[in-house]
Amino acid sequence: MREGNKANKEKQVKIHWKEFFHIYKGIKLPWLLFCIILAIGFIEGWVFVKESNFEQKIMNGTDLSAKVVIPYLLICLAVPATIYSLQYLRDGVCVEYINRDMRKKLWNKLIYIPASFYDKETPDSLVSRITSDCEGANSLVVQIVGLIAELSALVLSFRALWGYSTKLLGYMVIGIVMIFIYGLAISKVEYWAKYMVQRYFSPFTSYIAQRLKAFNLVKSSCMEEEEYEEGSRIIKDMFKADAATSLALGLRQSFANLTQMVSITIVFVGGSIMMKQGIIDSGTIVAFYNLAQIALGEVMMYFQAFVNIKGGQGSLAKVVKIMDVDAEDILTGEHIDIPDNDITFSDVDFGYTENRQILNHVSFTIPKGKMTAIIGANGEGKTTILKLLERYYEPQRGEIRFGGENIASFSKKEWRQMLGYTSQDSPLLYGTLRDNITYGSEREISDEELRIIAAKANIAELVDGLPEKFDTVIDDGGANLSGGERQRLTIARAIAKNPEYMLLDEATCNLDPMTERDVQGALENMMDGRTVVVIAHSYTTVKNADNIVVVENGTVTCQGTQDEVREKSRFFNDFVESAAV
Amino acid sequence: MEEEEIKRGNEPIDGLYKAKVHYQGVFVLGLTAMDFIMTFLPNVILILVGATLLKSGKLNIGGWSIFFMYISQLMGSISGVVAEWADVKSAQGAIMRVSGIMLNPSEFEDTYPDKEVPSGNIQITGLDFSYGDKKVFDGLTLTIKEGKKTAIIGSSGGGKSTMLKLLERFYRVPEEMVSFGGRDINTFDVRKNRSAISYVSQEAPMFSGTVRENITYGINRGVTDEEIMEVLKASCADAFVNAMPNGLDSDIGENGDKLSGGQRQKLALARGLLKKANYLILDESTSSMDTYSAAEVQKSIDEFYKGRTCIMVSHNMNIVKDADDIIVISNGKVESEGTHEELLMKSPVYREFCQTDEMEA
Repeated sequence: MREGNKANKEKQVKIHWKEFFHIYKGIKLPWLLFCIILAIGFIEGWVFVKESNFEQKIMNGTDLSAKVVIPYLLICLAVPATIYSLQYLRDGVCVEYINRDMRKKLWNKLIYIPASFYDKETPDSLVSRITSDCEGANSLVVQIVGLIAELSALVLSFRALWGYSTKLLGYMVIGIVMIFIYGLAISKVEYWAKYMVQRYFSPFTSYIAQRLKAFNLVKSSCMEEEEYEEGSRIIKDMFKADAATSLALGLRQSFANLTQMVSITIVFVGGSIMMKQGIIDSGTIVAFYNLAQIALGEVMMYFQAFVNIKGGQGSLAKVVKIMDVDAEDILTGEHIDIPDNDITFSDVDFGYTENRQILNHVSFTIPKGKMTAIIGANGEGKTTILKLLERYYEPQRGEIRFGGENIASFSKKEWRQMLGYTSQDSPLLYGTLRDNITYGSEREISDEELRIIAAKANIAELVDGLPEKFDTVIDDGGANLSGGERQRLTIARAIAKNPEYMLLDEATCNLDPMTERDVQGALENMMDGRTVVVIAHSYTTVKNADNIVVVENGTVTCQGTQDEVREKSRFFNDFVESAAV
Repeated sequence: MEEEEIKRGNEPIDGLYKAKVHYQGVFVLGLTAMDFIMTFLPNVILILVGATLLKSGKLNIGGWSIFFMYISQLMGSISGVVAEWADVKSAQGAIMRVSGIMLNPSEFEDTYPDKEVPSGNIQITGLDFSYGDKKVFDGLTLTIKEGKKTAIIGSSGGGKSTMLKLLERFYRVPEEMVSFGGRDINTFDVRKNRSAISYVSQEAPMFSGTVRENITYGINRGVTDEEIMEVLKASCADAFVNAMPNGLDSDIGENGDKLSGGQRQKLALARGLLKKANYLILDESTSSMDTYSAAEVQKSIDEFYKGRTCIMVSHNMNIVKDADDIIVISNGKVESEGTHEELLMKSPVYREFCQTDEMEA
């Protein structure tokens, strides 16, 4: 439970520039916007130089007439206007544009990604991939466009500075170079600070989240003092990371201040010596100083851009990995002609990872129009059989046939539409009752039909008791509904979809007998004449089945009718016995 | 539903885009305006006024330069102060929430230290309890006998879990309504109270770490591997733990993500058994297992725990029926009490509970 150590072991995901560029494929970049940004960037450079020209004239005291002062004031207004529009278009519109398209692309990917992908990634971490990590995507494009836009300002202001005084510019450059050496040293500190935060922050949040979720356990184990100490230790580590961040921030700020101070000193000390020698006049010093400030700002921007691009790459690293996974092709494949047929597993082997086999030589038949119950102890691969039927995974060996044909040849979309997969433990989605019941149904469902479905699923009473009937909002995965109500709602969804084949993962959660009777009734209404495959946990369900499949140690040990199985399978008899009161 | 979900997901993404662009517009405008007031405006004034003064000879270039430098420093300081003020304001909002938590009293503040650990019969007498307006118990009276296995059944939401939580004093228990061995629950030290109870909930919470760390959680004494294997065996968890790559030292993932619900419950049971408390409470602790496994696990635990006090709550009648004493709670009161056979005779509610579980099978 030393969370801190765990973070040490975690390897940093490395990505190459090529992969990094690859994720922009398919994203339409806003070229027109880029052109506007470049144009404004050019205007900005011109405005900067113009402003300093006027300042030189005014400070020399040669001309203070309206002819000079009014254009000067106008130019002074134009400076913030160009800075504003440039920053707004670049950091506002352009950044968000790319964020939006990258989010859409990732969302599309996550929806079409094969189900096996979700075995490795926890949903919680994927949420932040879309909400925050995608924002790294803009950095590369926007920084590059921004840098090009600022290029004219940079070149124009340095050319003007050169015009004012070559010697003074020479002094400045020496100062700038020295500052940048200091800047490079700071970037090392900053990298170290970021690393510290990464190392300590996520263990900190996961530690706190886990303890708060399980606070009953903490209390009943009387672990308050120990947890307080452990928490304090982790908070102390966090403090180290925070201190490093503050140090880096402080150094960075001092870097900016230092640049300004050095340039002030150089311009005014150097300038006044030069003025004494009569090389330069006071207006030029002022103009030079003001323009030098802007030019230095531009140089800093280039310096920062590199850091930002690097940072963006870091947060995008995991997004890039997701984009590399091939999306599932659900459309291509043969059309299914016969509405209903026997499904046969023939010698199927399967494992989620290479070294751990879940299913070995599984062979059995699901007869059409009948109810097949699969029984077996926990973790023997019953749910895996349903997942293979849904084609979330491909068998490693052997095949699953629909009639005479391998199911891999059909289009996944059509195949899955034919099947209704209902896991009674499945959470509900945020939305109204209607949304939840009609989820996944292709056709329009009238209120009339909705009421019939509700009656079949034994939820008519529940719906009538709600203030807004079918339009009542279910929030938080159905937290305000009881377990039995949630199960019946998922059954209602299955009835609404009206599939030819029904795959049902029966809930293990214990309900009180009255509620369980309601759920059983709803199940019977749903099964009505269909081909049903059910993973059975209760004897009531098994008793109703026409065909029973016993799974033990990852293989089918017995299949047949109640009577046949009773004779052959010891497991079946144990199962029945354990269910008897 | 892939296409539909993509459309649905794109809507908020587009909305976010519009909102962010608007926000940026305002934000950048504010920033620029600030910059204008703080830097450009003073510059313009200094240059125009300064040039006039220079011309009239009231100021020399040296004086002007110093003034110019100080102004830029001063403006920097002023914007610093403004920024600090904004920070203080935003921190106030956060502090309000924290202080809201801090104002709550801690649990142990009003209990006095006492060495005695609760034991003996648990007696509940005329207990009234409600959550806000919702009444849970209305004069509940029952006895849980020492050394026996007592099962409590009742419909979902009928307050069984609440009663168990009261025994652990997660809520304030009314005076003189609950007692251990004849002594009122409120006179025990809360920590001693909890150390007397080993509570295994259906959620089976797990932390990141190894099997060993999770099983020995909350146990202060030294525990040998043999002892751990013994409880793992009793909760039927030995087989899958042995099959894990590093046995007891295998990592179980964040919140135990690498385990199935049933496996987590088996580990939680092992943890509960290892605590060796006076009372073992099983609150639907086999609910994620199928009927067959649940019965197997329960049988094994009964054997291991023989002769000690065990309280269980379950809807699974196969494991309830073997209890020494079964208490049926209905509408916040005890409807009836007795063994399986007695209750079948006298309790209509109990008969209803048993019916759905197919007694004739």
